[in-house]
Amino acid sequence: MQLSKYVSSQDIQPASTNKSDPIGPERWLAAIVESSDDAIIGESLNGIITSWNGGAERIFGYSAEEAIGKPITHLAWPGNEDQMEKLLEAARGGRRVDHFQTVRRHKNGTKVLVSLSLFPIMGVNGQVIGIAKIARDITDWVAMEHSLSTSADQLRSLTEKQAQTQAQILAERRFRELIENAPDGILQVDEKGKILIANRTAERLFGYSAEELVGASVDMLVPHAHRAGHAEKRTSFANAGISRPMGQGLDLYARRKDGSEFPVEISLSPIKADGGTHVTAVIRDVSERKRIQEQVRALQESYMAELESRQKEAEHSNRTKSEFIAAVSHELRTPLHTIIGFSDLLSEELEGSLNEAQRNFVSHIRRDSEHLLGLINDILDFSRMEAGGLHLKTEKLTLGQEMQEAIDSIRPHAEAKSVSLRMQPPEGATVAADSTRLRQILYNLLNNAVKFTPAGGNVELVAVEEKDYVRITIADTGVGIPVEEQQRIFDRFYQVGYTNGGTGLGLAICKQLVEMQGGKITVESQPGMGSRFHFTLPKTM
Amino acid sequence: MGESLESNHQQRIVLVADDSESSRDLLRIILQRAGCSVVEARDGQEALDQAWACSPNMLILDLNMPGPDGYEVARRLREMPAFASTPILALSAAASEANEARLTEAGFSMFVEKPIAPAKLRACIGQLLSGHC
Repeated sequence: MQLSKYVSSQDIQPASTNKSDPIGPERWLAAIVESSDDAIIGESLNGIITSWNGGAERIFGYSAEEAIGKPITHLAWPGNEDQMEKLLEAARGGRRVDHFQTVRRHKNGTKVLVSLSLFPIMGVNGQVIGIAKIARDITDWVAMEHSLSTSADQLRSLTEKQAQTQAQILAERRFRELIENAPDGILQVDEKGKILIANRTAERLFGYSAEELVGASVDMLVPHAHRAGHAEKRTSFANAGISRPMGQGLDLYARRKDGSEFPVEISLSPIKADGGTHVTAVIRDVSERKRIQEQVRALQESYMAELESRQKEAEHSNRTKSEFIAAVSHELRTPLHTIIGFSDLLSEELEGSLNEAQRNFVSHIRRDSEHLLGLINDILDFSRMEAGGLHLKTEKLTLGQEMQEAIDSIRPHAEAKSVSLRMQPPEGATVAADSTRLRQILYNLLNNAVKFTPAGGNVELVAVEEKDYVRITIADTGVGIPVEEQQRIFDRFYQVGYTNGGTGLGLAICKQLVEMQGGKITVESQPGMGSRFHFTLPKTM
Repeated sequence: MGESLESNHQQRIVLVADDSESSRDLLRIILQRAGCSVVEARDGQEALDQAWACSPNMLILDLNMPGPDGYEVARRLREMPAFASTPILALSAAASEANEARLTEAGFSMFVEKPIAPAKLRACIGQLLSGHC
C-alpha cells in the first residue's frame, strides 16, 4: 500500500525531535479512520469483518472486539441478507457502490438507516483482496427529511385551505354584492313578519336605511288600507310553501318612510330556516311601467275614439252620397215620366192624327226618354248596391213565366230590328229569386243580345235544370266579343266596342244581382259568330 | 178611342195628388179625356183637405210627396169612415220602391208604375170605378 499517496512525508516528520517516538504513516491514517463519525469497516472477501472503527462502534453498538472476526451479516436487518450478499459480490467484482441507502440492525435490535459506500481493496497484483465499507447513519437525516416532508404537506394543505377560504369569502362577497345591488328590492321576513334581511335597493325604494329595516315589522311597508289582512296572508303563504307572485291580478302598493305610496310587483318564495319558514320577497317598483301603460291605454282610447269618429264620418258621407243620388234620381226621373206619358198621349192620336213624320218624331222622343230613364235607374240601382242598401225580395218563382214576360217585353225591339226570338223554358222549373230583379237581368241581357245582333239574326233564351241550380242562357248570333274584353265586360263602366251612350253599368248590375241571389254569370263568345251569356240561380232558397 | 165612362156613370170626381205639375197635367188630361172631373192637390196635406172638401169617388196618390206622403194620406183616409171603401190608386216611381205588402197595409186598392201609360191607367180606373178592386 503506498501510503505516501495518502500522507505527505512532510507531515510524517513531527515537530518533535524525539526520534524514539516517530508517528508512522499507518498511525496517521489509523487516527484519521478512528476519528471519523462514519462507520469505516474492513471486510474480507467472504464478508468477515476485519477492521471496525469508533464510528462503527457508535452506529452499530458493537465494540471492535465484538465485531472483528464476525460475519458482516450480523448487521443485517431481517430479510435483507440477500442484499448484503449482492453488495459484497459487487465489491468483490471490483465495482464501487456509492451512497446506497438501506437498513441495518443495531446491536440492541433497533433499525439503523444508513447510506453505504463500498470499495474494493486492490492488492499489488491488481486483484481484490478485501472490501472497505463506509456507512453513514442517516436515521436522523431521514427522520428530518420525513418531518420536513410532513411539514411541507401540512403547509400545502394549509395553503389550500386558505385558498378555499379565500374563495368562499370571495363567493360570499359576490353573492352579497348580487343581493345588495339587485335591480329589485329584496327582503327576507320571518314568520312573525320581522324583517331579517334588506338589500340596498330596498333601502332606496322604501327610503329607510338597512338598520331601520332589519328588525322592523314588514307591515310598516304596507299601506294602511291593506295592513289588516296582511298578517293572515303571510301565514297562509308560509304554510302553502310554493313560490309565487303576490296578489296576482291586484294593483299592489307599498308605503315609503315618508308615507307616500308607490305601485309594486312582488314575488314571494318560502325558505325553511331556523325551524320555521322565512319568506323572501322580491319587490319591483312599477311606477314607470304603470305610467307607460297608462299612456298606452290613453293613446289606444284616443285612437279608438278617432277611429270611431272617422267611421261615423265615412258612414255619414256614404249616407249623404246615397241620399244625394236618390234625391237627384228622383228629380231626374220625374220629368222623364211625364215626357214619356205625353209622348204616349200623342201616339194615341186622341187629340188629332199624326202624319208619318210626326209619328216618327214622337217615336224618337219616347225611345230616348226611355233610354234616359233606364240610365237613371241603373245609376240609382248601382249606387244602392254599393251602399249595401239594395234589398231583394226572394221568393219561389215559376221560371217559365218570368222568361215569357221577358221575351214579351223585348219583342217590340227585336221585331223592329228583324231579329227573331226563340225561347226554351224548362218544364215547371222554379227558382228562388227576386222577380223584379230577375226580370231586370233577363231584360238587360236580351236587350244587349238584340242590340248587338244584325237584322236576320236570332236571339235565344234557354233554361236548363241542373242538380241545385237552373242555368239560363241568352244566346245571340251577333257581332260577338273579343277575347281580351270578355274578362272585363262585367266590370263597372266598361263598354264593349262602340259605345251606345250607355253608362256601362248594365252588365255590372246584372253581375251584382245574380251574385246577390246566389248565382254566377259567365260569357262565351266568338267575334263574328255570336255570344252566349249564362247565369245560374238556385232552385230553392 | 179612349173609353168614356160618362156613358155608364155620373161624372166621377177623381182627386189627383202629385207634387210634380207636369205629372198632374198628364193625369188631368187622361182623366178628363176619360170623362172624369179632376181635383188637384200639390202635396199630402192638400190632398187630405181637398178629399174632405169634395168627397172624390177615387183618389190617385203619388207615393213620393212632401208632407204626409202617399202612404200616410191613404192611411189617414182609411181611418175616416167616409173613405173606408173609396178606391185609392198609388203611383210609384219604380217597382222596387213599392212594396206590395206595405201598399196593402196602407190601404191602397191598386198601384201603377211610372211612367204612366195612359192606356193602362184608363184600364185601372175603369176597374176601380166599376167596383172591381
